[in-house]
Amino acid sequence: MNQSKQLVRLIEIAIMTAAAVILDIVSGMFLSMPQGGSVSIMMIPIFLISFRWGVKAGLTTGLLTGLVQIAIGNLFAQHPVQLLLDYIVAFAAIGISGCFASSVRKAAVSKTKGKLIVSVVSAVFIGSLLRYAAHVISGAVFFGSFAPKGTPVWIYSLTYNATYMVPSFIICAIVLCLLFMTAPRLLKSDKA
Amino acid sequence: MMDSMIIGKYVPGTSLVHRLDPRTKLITIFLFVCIVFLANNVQTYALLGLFTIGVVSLTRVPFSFLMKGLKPIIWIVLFTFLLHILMTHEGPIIFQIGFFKVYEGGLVQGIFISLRFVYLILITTLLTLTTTPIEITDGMEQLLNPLKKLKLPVHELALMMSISLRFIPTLMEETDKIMKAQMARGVDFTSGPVKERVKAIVPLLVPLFVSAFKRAEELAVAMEARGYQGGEGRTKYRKLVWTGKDTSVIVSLIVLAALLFFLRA
Repeated sequence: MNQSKQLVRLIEIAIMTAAAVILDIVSGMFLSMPQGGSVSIMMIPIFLISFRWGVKAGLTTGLLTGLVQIAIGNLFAQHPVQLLLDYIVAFAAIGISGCFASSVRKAAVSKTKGKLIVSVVSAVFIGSLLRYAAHVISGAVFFGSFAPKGTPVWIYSLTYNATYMVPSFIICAIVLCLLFMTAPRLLKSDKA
Repeated sequence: MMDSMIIGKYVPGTSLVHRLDPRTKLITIFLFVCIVFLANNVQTYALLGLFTIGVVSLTRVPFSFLMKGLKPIIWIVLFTFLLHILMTHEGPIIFQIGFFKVYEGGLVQGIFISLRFVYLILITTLLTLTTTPIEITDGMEQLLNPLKKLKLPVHELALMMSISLRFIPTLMEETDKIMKAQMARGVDFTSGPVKERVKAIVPLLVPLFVSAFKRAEELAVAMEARGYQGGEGRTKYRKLVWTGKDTSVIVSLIVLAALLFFLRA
């Protein structure tokens, strides 16, 4: 990879991180859930980068999103382990979806709708599942250190985190499928 | 609609805490989050309380800003407090209303846990109230520097983080513009069935992403034209200076940790 392409990748990661942070704020406005939690579409830019540039770039975007959240003060630190899992591991885990990058790109170029849907949905599923796992562990640590002894912390954490991760997964998958069907050029990264 | 949203919570000031090195503040937060768990009796919680109040008063940040930071967690605090009162059955019963019994152990535990919550939130809120995001980035870069030996691209990460922070307001404005343009065409983002709202996101994202990628390319060209060649030998415009103040803050934290260790039950 030549210098210029690498630089473009670096800046794209940076700007998509900014987009993720903004979508996190904006999504609260028009997709709030009845029970108060908000379904976030902030994962979309991270998925987009991991489809464009692969796993490593996706991981970086996720990691940066967590760090920027800390820097601008969306910080909720209750336990050292929880801090690490919620802000570093959880978002970075979304980037793993980049292992489906080539199949997503191929399907988008060849305009095979079925294949595109299958690969996007499985990529989003893997990414969301790993993020969910990180949040569940951190939630168990968090509840474990604050709830009284004998509370079923794992069940709390599993259900609480599912209330927003399941809708987030569904919405991200639908939006990304629609996005790549209307604008497959978003997946092309080899022009620079 | 975006005017009401402020990105970042920095409150400018010249207090001692504002002037501390961001590295000190980051280390302090990390140590504090760790040592809070040492407290387990009245003396240790009181000591932590004194420390927190001391730091808060040193920053001279208006009280209302702190309350804004506490607002979102007030329900979690109340919830855990109630949970402890209902679930912990230790010590003598203090009072009883029908089936509802409050034990001393539960009340004490509830108060302790709520205090721990409030301390942690106050201290972490203070970081972003007294430090600009870009200072935090510089601090993180310096602190992570040793990881360069493990081939972690620390400089690139910090550069990406500053670019990202720089572009948040720009992209925010753009998102706002696109949303207004779509609303003028009759798109409804805030009401209607969920299916329609999900569909409405696509025409918002396409122009946002397309222009973001265009910006990325332009910025890359601009950086190359100015001779950017990666981290090696790049000098800094803002330099972090470690002073005596910073050393004394870290030392006082270690003293606090030692005191907690001796006072805990």
